[in-house]
Amino acid sequence: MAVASERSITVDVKPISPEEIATLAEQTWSPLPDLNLEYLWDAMARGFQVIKVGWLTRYGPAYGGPAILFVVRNAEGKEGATLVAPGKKVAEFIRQNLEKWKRNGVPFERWEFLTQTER
Amino acid sequence: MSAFELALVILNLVITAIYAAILWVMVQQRRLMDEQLAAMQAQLREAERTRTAAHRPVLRVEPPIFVPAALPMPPIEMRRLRNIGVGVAMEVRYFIHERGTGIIWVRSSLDPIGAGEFSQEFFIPQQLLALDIALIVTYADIFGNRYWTLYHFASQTHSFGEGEPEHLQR
Repeated sequence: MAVASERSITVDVKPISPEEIATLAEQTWSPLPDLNLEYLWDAMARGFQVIKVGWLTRYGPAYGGPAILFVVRNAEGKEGATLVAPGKKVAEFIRQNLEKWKRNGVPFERWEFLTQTER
Repeated sequence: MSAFELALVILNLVITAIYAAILWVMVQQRRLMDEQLAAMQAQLREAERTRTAAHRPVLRVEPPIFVPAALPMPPIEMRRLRNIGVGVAMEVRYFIHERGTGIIWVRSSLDPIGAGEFSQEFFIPQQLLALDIALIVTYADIFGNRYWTLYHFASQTHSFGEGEPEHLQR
């Protein structure tokens, strides 16, 4: 059973340029930079490929701050997703794989969570 | 054997008997003290249990909240925790891990949750629901005692425990 939240939350999804995600990842301060990146690497080592990259304005792994969402899929069609906290390593990781992802047609999205105060 | 030697032997025997009696009394006292100590420790443990039980937080995972997103994207699923215990839950951390492989897809932390209150919403990427995942929440009461809650999404079941969850220890 699903319930409606007392707070109204909506998400606004817009396309964003991959360079902008890399810049945001590098320049945004995080209390735990690059958190969860090793889990993404672990998944990629087990045959998962990145199929979507998103910049989340909230609900990240480090104290609910901003995050980079990586949606991954393996050869069996199994999908997973990892939220990575912004940091220098993840920015470098995005820049390294940028060309490959562009060739594969990976979409880049900005997910803005809008929360209204409690009624 | 002269009468004097006999007297000496008897005296020795008497002294041995006295020493043995003293030793026996000391052993008995020691045994009594051990019993009293065990009883006192049990009483202390019981008092500690009562004290923590009166402040014990219990976290339960609430049904999902669907947040509308721009079309044609499906709504995004958010979750919240509710503290159904009697004390505040501190140092709330959560992990979403895939069962079987042990890979952790998301880990994060939440603000303290008061008794009867809801936590902030947190985001679960919907792709994860295709995997066999479980949510583990670890938290502490005001005395620093740690607890955990495991929520298995597929069967919608909770399990609760004290201390650190063993399956997260390496």
